[in-house]
Amino acid sequence: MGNTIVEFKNVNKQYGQGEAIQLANKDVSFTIDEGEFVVILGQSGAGKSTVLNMLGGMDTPTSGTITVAGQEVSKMNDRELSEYRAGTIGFIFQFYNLLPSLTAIENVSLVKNIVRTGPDPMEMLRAVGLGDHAKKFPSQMSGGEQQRVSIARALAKDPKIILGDEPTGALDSETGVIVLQLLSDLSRKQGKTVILVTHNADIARCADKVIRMKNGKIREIRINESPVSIQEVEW
Amino acid sequence: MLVRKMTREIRKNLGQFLSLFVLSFLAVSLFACMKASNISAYNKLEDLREATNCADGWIFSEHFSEEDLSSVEALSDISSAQRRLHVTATAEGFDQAQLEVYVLDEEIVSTPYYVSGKKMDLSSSDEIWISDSFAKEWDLMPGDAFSFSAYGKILTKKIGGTIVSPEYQYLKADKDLDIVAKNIAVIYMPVRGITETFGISSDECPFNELIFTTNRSDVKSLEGSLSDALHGNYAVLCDRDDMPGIRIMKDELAQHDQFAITFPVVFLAIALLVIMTTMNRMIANQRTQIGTLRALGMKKGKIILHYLSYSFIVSLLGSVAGLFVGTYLFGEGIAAIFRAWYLIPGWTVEMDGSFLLVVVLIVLCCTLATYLSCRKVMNVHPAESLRPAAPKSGKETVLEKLPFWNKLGFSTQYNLRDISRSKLRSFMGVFGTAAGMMIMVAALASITTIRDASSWTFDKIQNFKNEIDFSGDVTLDLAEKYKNEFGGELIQTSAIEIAKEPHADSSKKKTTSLMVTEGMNCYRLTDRSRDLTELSPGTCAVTMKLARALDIHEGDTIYWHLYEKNTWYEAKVGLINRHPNFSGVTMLRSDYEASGAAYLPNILYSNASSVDISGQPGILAVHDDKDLKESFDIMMEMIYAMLIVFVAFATVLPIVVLYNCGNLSFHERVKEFATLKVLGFTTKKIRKLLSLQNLWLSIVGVFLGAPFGTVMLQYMFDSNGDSMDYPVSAGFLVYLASGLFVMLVSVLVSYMFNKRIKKLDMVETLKGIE
Repeated sequence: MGNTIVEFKNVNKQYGQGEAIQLANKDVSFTIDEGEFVVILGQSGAGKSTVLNMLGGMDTPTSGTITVAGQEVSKMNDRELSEYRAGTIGFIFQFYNLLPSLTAIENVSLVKNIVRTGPDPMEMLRAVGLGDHAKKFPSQMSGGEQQRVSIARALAKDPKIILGDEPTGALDSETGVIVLQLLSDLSRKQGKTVILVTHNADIARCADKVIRMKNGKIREIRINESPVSIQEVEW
Repeated sequence: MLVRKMTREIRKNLGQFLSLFVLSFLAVSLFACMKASNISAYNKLEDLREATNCADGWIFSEHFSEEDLSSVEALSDISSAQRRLHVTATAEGFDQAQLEVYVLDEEIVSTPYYVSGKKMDLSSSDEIWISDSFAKEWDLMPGDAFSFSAYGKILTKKIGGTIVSPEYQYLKADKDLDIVAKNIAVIYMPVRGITETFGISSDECPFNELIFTTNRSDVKSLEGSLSDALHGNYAVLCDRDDMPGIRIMKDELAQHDQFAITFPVVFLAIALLVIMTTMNRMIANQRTQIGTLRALGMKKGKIILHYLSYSFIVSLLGSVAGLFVGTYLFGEGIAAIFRAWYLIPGWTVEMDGSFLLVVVLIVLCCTLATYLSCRKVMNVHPAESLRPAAPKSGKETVLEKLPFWNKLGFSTQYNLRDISRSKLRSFMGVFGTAAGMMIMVAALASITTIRDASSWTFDKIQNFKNEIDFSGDVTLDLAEKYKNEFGGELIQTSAIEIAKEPHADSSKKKTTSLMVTEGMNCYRLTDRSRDLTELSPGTCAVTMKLARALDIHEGDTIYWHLYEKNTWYEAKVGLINRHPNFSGVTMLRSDYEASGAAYLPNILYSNASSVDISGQPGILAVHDDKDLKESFDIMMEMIYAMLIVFVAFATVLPIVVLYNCGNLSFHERVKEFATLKVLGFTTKKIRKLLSLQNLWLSIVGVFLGAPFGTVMLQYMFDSNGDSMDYPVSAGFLVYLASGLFVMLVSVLVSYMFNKRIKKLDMVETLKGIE
């Protein structure tokens, strides 16, 4: 593995004020190395999505520091955060969040409006096995196909880090395997840092590092010496 | 509980519901302000006519005898009748105001409506009763002495009281282009005021009018029996529509009635679009909530009623507010403006059943539009509505088949597809902007049109420096003497009736004006294209609107007679001409004299640099071209007042509509915008994406609305009646300024969303399905 690319240091996140304060993350600290395939595991309400949202520059911590690729994300303003999300992060959502009025290729090409460099969108679509679905609209594709378009969209920016929030949560097992394989390959073959949030412990078996969370705190950080292949995961 | 849900959701969607409030308010208030003053005018007019036994018919002749009156009174259809003498006189002092003097020997029909002082004493020889409007302008009180000249003599009488004539709601001096109360008055005088001054018996008094009331609605249908009773010895029979003092007010009120319908319809149409789009979105967003309520066992009817209550309550509040503000604030304002011009005692504002009907209609339309929106979701099975709706189907739009589609940028493709999927919302945007543009063009074009009419009048038609108006006692010799002294061109204007056949009955003839010129280029004619032209000797000119009304063409022969005479003459039409403020026939003096009619000019147009002959014999008034231009300035002031109202509407409409479009578009695409934000799009870029669509819709609206602006304005000018011919003139600058204004509003509206995009919570927005 390479250098540290992500560092969470004593990160707290609270919502609300006064008596209605809710602590979503309490004193969260961890590091992730470049090229690692990391799974943040936890039940619903464990605070894992909050970690991912702060890491993705969609939310800011109440205290503590978040450093990504040498930049202190927790101190960025709105404009810097936009640039950070555009240049560093590729986000994959549970419900794909494709733009329904754009075709598959247009959804992928969309990111070229913000990042001029990086791979060709059509190549990315072919890479996820959807070269012949380029002109289809999201409503004309299955959930798995839509999620693969979403991955192609994330890749087209050539991001340093790919974040996935329950990327297989809305998929059946067969399609889920295809999507996971793609994400795993990104890490293993292309050296991208992939961080997934899931409540599925089986998926964690394929990861290089597993960060287990409960009640907003980190309970365990485990290095997986011998991750199993995606095909072996049972759903 | 559902009431709480409703109030909270109205608060949450305040922008849209506020628009609905504003639009229903505007629709009802516009109706109310036009109608409330009209209803009061109609009611007070009816009261006035009842109180004064206002005449239904007028018969004009050189003299009506006692026998003539008895014969007319004996007719079964005649309810009451009386004779009177009508003479136009001139005030001594008081800027030589024009006086319409009525001399009475009895007070039965069209009696004066008394405002101050005492009632008329028919045995009095030294009193007169004078228009209240004139008395107020000159600070005249009952008991004051007042002198005027008639039949070459100066009569000095005491003012017995101030009155309103039921026959003159519109009272304008001949010399004025617009109403100037201090320049004209109606005077009622007992017959002894004339007989004693001139030393004649009352039998010798030349009663030239016989007025009557009838139970027949069509007065002109009495012409046969009246003609028999008078042995054909009369010039003309008129009904109320022929009397300018009554007709012009009636036309004005009819114009207001039209506006009371037209403008609210535009606002109602936009309000309905706002409701349909707003409720469509709200109901689509609350699909699972509706499913839950139904799964909990709530009846379909109750849920529908809940959603209907949103638009019902908001439109009802807007309409009721519009009803009262429109009636008592705007309506009273309109009544106040028109009270200064038209004479109807007690004119203020009143409501009638139609107000309630309009409120009910607007609230019903708004509620029905909501019903149509929620009906769709209600028909979905509860289990199905608990699940999120299927995503909008993505399909190729027609535009995508264009060869250059692939060359279009992301924003363009994205917005074009969004428009094709949200047709109702897009239509609302285009319609609202088009309406705003239409109003704006009409507002600015009204200025250019009046300026154009002014230049048409003063640069083309009126080629003189001074207008010398002769009084009623001028002779031809005296008029010629003034002409020799100051140079220029003598003009005779007379009231005439024209028809396409001689001795035509009332249905085939029209009352209009005759202008006799000397063809000396002081008063010039313009053709249909408003280019200068000349009248060929042996022919006459007929103004375009009149020619159209009577189907008269160049080369036709027309027949005419002076209003007060019964001799018909014929003339060949050589020209169809146009004039902004004159409708009628123009002929050369030589042709007029050749016809055998007596020639007596009443105006001299002169180019003399200085004419100082006020008060000299035969002179009524002298106006220089500055005075004449003043009338246009007064008109311009009215236009400027109207302009403020127009510009206000032209601003409110695009703001309300475009804000709504943007709001709906924002809410419909909020997840997409959050996704774009996650992908790294900046606030500026997303705002551009959102505003681009509004910008396009505005541009389409601007182009579609532009031509209707002049159509609307022409309709407004034409609704003033056939006596006005104001071709709407709107140059490129009018369109450019209007377009830029509407586009500026559109751009400003797009900035309203800046903060919302900036504050858009990506995590919250992307968290749930709903």
